[in-house]
Amino acid sequence: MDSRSDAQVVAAVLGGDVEAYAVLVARYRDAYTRFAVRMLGSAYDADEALQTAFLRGFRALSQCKDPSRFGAWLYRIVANQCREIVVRRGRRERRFVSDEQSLEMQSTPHPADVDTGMREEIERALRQLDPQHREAFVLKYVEELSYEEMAEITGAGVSALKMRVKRACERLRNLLEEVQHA
Amino acid sequence: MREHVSDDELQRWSERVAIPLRAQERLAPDFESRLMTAVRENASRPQSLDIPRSMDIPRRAGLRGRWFAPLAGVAVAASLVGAVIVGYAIALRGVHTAAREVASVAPATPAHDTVYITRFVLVAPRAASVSVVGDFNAWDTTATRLANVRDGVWSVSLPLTPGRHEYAFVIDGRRWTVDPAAPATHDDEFGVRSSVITVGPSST
Repeated sequence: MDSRSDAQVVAAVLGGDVEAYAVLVARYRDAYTRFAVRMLGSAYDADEALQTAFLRGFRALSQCKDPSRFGAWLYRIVANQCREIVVRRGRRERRFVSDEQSLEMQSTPHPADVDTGMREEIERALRQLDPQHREAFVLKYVEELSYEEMAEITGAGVSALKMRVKRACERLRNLLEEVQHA
Repeated sequence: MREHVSDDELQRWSERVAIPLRAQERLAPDFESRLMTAVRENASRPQSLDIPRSMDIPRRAGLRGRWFAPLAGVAVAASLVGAVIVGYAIALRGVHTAAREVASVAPATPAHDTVYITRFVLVAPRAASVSVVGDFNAWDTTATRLANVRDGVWSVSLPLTPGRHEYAFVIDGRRWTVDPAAPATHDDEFGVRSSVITVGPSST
């Protein structure tokens, strides 16, 4: 495990040690994976989004104004990338991606409090939210970030984010109630 | 039927619903090796800035009437693995120019119609095409293509009015590249940076 700080690793990469970037990838990849999967609906799409985001992060590394906050800076790139993909796909995307490769990459269902069927319903409902509301819900309730952290990542103000989160929760609740009463 | 729920209740409900969504997700085990392959390949290419796809190439106006000595310097920026980028712009004037390839422009016209032949050069051995874009050609990537004058050395000369111009090179129609030898602007509102050249007669 590399003990250098983010700022030190960034400096090393900018100094020409390209391989040092792998340290940052290893450090942050998992933190963004869940967010990307929730936003895009499949590990396959999340993989593509994160490849692009990390590569963008490498190219633009000299523009990271505060390398000690590299993680937050890259999170912003990841969020932008996910938003871009969702917008491009359009709201017609409802289906769960079920091609073979995607199934292979699915995490195993968790024998948790809520059964797998319910979880799929929740994920399906989540994907019916527009990108902004989906992102707000995921950052707040799945990633459990503070509103200040969310503001840094999304570029939106705290009160705007609170409104988005509230709308997202209301919409999700309506969608899931429809499902339950169907 | 949807009854009204309090904010507290909505929050509690949301927390419960989010629990299964907090399950950890995993990417394919070769994610890192694929990424580092792309990173190494990127590092071995000429220095470039990434243009986000959703952006238009920016258009900026603005000539300023300051007069500075023409840029004549050459800077070499070595990239990480052997490919060399050199960019420089030379402002040449009238009969004093020694460059054979460049036609001189006699300033017989009034001062504000004077133009200076300016040569843009970029060394980009792996490029298939290079354009220069700037405020003088409405940032049109198809307007001013450089010619490959010898191995990987791309060049074009064009007349510029005196004053400050912003420009950049575009490699293969899509890779925005600042001139490593020239001063750069700050990021504009899209986070994009350009190079600056100031054209004018020799004076300090």
